[in-house]
Amino acid sequence: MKNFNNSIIALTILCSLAACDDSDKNNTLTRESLSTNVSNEWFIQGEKAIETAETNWQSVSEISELKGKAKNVILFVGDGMGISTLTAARILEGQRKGMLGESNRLSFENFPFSGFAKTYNVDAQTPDSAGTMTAMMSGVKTDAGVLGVDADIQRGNCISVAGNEMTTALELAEIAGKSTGIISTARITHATPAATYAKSAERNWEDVSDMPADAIAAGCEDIASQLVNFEANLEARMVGVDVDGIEVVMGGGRRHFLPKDAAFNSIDASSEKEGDRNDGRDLTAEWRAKYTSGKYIVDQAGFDAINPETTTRLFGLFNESHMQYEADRANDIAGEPSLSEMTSKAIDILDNNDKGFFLTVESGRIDHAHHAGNAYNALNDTIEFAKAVQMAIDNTNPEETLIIVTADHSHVFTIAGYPKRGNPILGKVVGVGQTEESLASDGMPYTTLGYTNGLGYQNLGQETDADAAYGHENGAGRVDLTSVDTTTAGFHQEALVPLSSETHAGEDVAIFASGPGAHLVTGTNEQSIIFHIMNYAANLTSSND
Amino acid sequence: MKSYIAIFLLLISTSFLVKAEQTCHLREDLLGAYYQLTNSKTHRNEQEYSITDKAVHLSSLWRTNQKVLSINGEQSTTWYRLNNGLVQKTTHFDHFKRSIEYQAKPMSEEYWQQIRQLIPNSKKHTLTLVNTTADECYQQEQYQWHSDDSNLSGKLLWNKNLNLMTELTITQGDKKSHWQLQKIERNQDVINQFFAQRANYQSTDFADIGDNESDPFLIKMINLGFIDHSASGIYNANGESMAIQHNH
Repeated sequence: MKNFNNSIIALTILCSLAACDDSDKNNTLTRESLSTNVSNEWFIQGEKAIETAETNWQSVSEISELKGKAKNVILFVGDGMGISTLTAARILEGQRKGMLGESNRLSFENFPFSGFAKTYNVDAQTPDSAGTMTAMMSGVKTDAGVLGVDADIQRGNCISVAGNEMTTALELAEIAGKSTGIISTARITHATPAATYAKSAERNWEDVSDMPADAIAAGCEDIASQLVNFEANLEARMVGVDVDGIEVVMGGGRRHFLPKDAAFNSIDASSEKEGDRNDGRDLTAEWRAKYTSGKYIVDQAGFDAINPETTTRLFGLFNESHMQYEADRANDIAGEPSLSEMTSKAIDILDNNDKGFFLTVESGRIDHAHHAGNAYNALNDTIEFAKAVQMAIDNTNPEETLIIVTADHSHVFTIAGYPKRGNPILGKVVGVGQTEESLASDGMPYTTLGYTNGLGYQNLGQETDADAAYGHENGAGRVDLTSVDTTTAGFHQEALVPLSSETHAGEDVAIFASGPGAHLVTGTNEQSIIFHIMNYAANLTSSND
Repeated sequence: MKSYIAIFLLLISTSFLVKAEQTCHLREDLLGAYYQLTNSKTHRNEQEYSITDKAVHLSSLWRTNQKVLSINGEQSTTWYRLNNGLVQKTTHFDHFKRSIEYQAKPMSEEYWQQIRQLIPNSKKHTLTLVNTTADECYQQEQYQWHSDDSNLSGKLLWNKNLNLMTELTITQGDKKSHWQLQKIERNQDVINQFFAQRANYQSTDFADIGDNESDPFLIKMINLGFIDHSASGIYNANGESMAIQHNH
């Protein structure tokens, strides 16, 4: 109402300046004369949004006063969670709540500030997770496929690493005395979590058996070993620094920490020999020897037994490889926690530090579901990701916690056709005012969701593992979906270009932010700005001067 | 003297028994079986001169404990059955010395039999048993079937002791497929080596294929794909494939 009145005043002033002739014309606008607009719910919502924005900006202190105000920083990364994924997940979550869906908001879509990130790598128009997460964590864009190093290196060339290592926000937080944590539903040695702690010319050097002999001979360390040796490596690289290591690590990827020997199999093993390492090292044992008060866990029971009030250090490896898709989690051999459960417990452990904490949380399998051409699992994991963000909102003080939610890159995932409002997002297109499915020029119906490339159509019914599609022949192209239930977990959408795996996309991704420093998230920026926002808000580099 | 003769006879009979036992001592769960598959087609020209197109393929099937290795040309697959009944599959690309690993999944007993012995018992029981023979070591069962509707007929010779297909012939019209067991490998070291060689290949989790566009092998897979399934080519009297579908 206030803004409407302001508009009237402004219009009146303009009329005066323009020497409007009031004797001949009546230009006074009243709310009643715009009744069609102002009585509409959308209009009312828009006015309220402006009021909220005013409040948000009025609460923002002088920018200089905000520097270092974030005691805690949490960076959430939805791997492959492009804009279309956000929109579709929002609708699906809403429809699951019984709504039409479109007006729903995922938890972080209520954050006051948002912007765009340009995701390209230095050498790639369409990026990968390694280069993008390195940009977010180190403030420097780099090549695809490398971790924690700048673009002066050569991918796969071990000796090019020396002298090009960068320092990450997690490392700076460690040096500043904060507690730190990394969570992922992918292998904890996979690109996104690894970019927080590792320096590697090749993202695939997850354990020593993945490395060529010349890289080993040249002294390059595999990613899993770097995680366990994080404390010593950081102190060696930054002379005079004394840190206490990453307090919370949870994810998948046990195979890279265990020797290739069945004697080291855990109760959760799904291979004859669970481990991959050919150097005989058991890194889980090395971690336990290094951190004798720490807790190493491999399953849901172990997770449930963790008391965050008394646990100071936690290392959880819940799967031999990646953790399960959220919809498929019940099929894990020994049981594993959800992303939201891990987030909640991690915060409970980390916030025991008076200096605050730095936590990165990755939903790693949104990306994998898209690669398999399975929207159901991509959206379902996104919904679980939003739930994890809500856990952070509920368990932190918004005045001292900066929460950033973003994606590393997008996928070739589309929301197309002209479905009517409330049409099931996983269903076939039914047009406005229609009850029958819309037909394409080939006379066949089509789904709202689709992929530009990839494995294409698969109908696996109630199958909840998106990767089951890899065992089938490529189904790209058009299929008669008339009798097909496209809303099931095992339905894989049609794709145009046949590839064995759907690809990333190169368009911008969204950044959402809440808490001190969040207002810096605005406009379209290079993805590397995320580091600088976290750095500014938490005063990471200055606090280490 | 009699005692010497008795001892001599005992030694001879024992040695024969041992030899026979060694010849027959083939463990059902420790063997390698080499097969030759010949697909042929008969043509007739105006002079009724028949020309036969032939294509010969070699394949082999290996078993040890709870593992099965199937080799077809330059692609092979290992299945490993865990103690909890889940089965993990790994596809090997022998030319590249690379493997793709899949997540362990539940598998029906019927489908596990198909992997281990090519024809599950449930399918075999639909065939007509026409003869049973026995030699020194094995019992061989002979099955037959015919369908007028699909113009298909088949003959199967089955090693009952080893649960192994000895010979299979399927004829449909002018096409014929013939599987012939060529050789059985029973040396444990040789069998283990076949599995170990592939276990040492660089392996990639199937879920990671899409994130490895810089890997020349995987980009070839991404761009060209690979066929993981092909028809078994074995059909019963109803013309139905004897291969059963995946159970997920």
